[in-house]
Amino acid sequence: MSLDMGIWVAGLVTLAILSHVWKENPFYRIAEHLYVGISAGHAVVMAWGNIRDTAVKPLAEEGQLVWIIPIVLGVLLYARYFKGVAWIARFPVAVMVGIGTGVAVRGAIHGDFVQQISATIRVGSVNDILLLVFVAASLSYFFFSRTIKGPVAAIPQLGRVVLMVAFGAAFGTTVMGRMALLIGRIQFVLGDWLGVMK
Amino acid sequence: MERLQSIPKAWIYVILLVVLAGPLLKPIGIPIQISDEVRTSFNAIDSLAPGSIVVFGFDYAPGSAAEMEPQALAILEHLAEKQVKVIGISFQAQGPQMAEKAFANTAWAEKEYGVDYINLGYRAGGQAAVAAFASDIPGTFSTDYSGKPSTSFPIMQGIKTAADIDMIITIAPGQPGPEDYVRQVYGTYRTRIIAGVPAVAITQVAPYVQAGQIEGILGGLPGAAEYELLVEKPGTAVAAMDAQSLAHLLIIILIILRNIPNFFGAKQAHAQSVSNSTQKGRGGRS
Amino acid sequence: MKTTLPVAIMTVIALIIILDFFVADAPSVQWIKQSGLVLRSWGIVISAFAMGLGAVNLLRRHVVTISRRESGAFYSVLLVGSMLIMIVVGIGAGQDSPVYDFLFSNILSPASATMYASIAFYIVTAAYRSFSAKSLESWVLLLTAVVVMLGKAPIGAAISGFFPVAADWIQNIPNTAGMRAIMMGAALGVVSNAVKMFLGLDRTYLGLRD
Repeated sequence: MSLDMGIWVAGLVTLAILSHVWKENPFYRIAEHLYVGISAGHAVVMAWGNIRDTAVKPLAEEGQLVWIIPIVLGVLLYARYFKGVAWIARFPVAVMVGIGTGVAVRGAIHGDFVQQISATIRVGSVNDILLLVFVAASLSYFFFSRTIKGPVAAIPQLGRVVLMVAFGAAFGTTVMGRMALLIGRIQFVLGDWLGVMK
Repeated sequence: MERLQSIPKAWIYVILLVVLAGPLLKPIGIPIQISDEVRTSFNAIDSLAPGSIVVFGFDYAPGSAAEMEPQALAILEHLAEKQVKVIGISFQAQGPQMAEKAFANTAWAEKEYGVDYINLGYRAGGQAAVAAFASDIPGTFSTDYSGKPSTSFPIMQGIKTAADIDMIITIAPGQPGPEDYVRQVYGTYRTRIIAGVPAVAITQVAPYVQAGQIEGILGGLPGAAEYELLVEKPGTAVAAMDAQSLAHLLIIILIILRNIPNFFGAKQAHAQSVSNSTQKGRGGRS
Repeated sequence: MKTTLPVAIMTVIALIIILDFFVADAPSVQWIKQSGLVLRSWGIVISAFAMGLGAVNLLRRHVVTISRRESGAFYSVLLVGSMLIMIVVGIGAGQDSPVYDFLFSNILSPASATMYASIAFYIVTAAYRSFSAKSLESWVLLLTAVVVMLGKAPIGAAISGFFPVAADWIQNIPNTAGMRAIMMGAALGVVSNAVKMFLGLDRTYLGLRD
């Protein structure tokens, strides 16, 4: 059994959070509120580090006045809390959304569309042909603008089955992941804390 | 049979805890096979020459550390053996602390900070920050984790863009994740990418692997366990595999129990309809 | 002006960043590349300021609870107190300080890990109570999940070499196909949504209803 105070605190926090699975209780609420407070505090510290290192240092130490602009925009985000001037916060939001949208669009076009198509149309083996057929069938399933009838309807139906297989695989791996996280906590309790695991 | 389908919730929880804790206390020793995807990742990292520059993305937080940390530690041990240089970055606010812990708990603790490895800390902005990093590394990470100018360290000399990097290894459970490195880095610079992902993300990154945008992946705790065996440093992931196996068996048994009525219900419905059509044929009531 | 100008700013910035990706390295268009670099670095600073919004929202809510002595005020004191301690110690003494490290490693880390780990209990009860297959498609889904669960853990290979091979094939072919279709559809959705935003047809990001 560990004699480290930190490990004991971590162990008690672990049990307090796990107790919620059984029933809501004060120990869980204490641990939950501490977790939220510490997380939020940590986020503020990391945010300050970013602002200081990326903008404040070049501005103060190297005289790069251009960094005043993002600092002012960042401060203007907090205008939302004041009635009458809350609309000013739209400007920094517009800048952030513009940057995010630009980055997302260029990444989506190239990485998620063009390169995916070129990877689909290679035909070197039976699996490559199956992949092409399955991708085409799955894409056809998403054509909702017209009802597809007749023998051609088999294609979107195949697409539906392919999507079910994909979701089944996702479900299987989701179970795998969640079990791994719980195993990790049990390893901590039995190993690091109670010392009964080899 | 009916009792098997009305087990109280509390008993299910107890069974789950016993199934997971049992093999941890008394290992069974089910052999672990190395999968093609992990072997591909291992071979890719093994192909790095000494002195290569590797950017290591510590993009995971304590919430997912149970799956991600073993992957990070195993790969870091491999990188230490290969004598490459590692630049640690994070686009996840709690990542730098994970990086400090990982460097301290591997062979990197014996190497020289600033020369062999560095922790550049965290940058906010998600995918936009990844895009900024790709085109201007010293500008995006102008300081290291402790606040010193990043360009003052020997390891950062000559590093300007992602074109100056030999490989990116990202251990990332969410956003930003391997997909963002693909979209913002691979698209322009064709930098080699290896991704450690949690099990839930394996199916999502599979298209990128098939397309060659990601060279290799480690999937979840089993991926970490296989990598630990390949680098001959079995750790927490290998120790957890028996429990992982039994957990999967438990879920499958519970799903079977849940679906037994459906299966027998379908059989009964089929038998009933056969009986009805036989009676109709004899002129009986339907 | 209060809505048109932000939309215009958003559109110009987005177009610069998109063009930056596609233009060649010619001197005449270097201003686009330089602008893209500058804008992306500004995005880091503004995003960092945005991270503080969460803390401010929490403070506003919980300080009200404390001042009015509402039910749960004790927990609000814990939340606000721990947040302020982290901020003061982190900015003042640094993240290397023993207090900061203690709170991060022994409260935040185990709490976060356990929150996510507790989902396993709900998955187990869901598997037992809800994962019922009543149609062909749901049987396909469940059987695929069973094969993948067996194939991805060592137990599958121990039972039969079929399971790891099948799990790999499922992941690389039908799963890749299905996920690729979804991904391509989502990519088209990103582009069409961006166009809607550029045309001012979608202004929800400004807090406005269309």
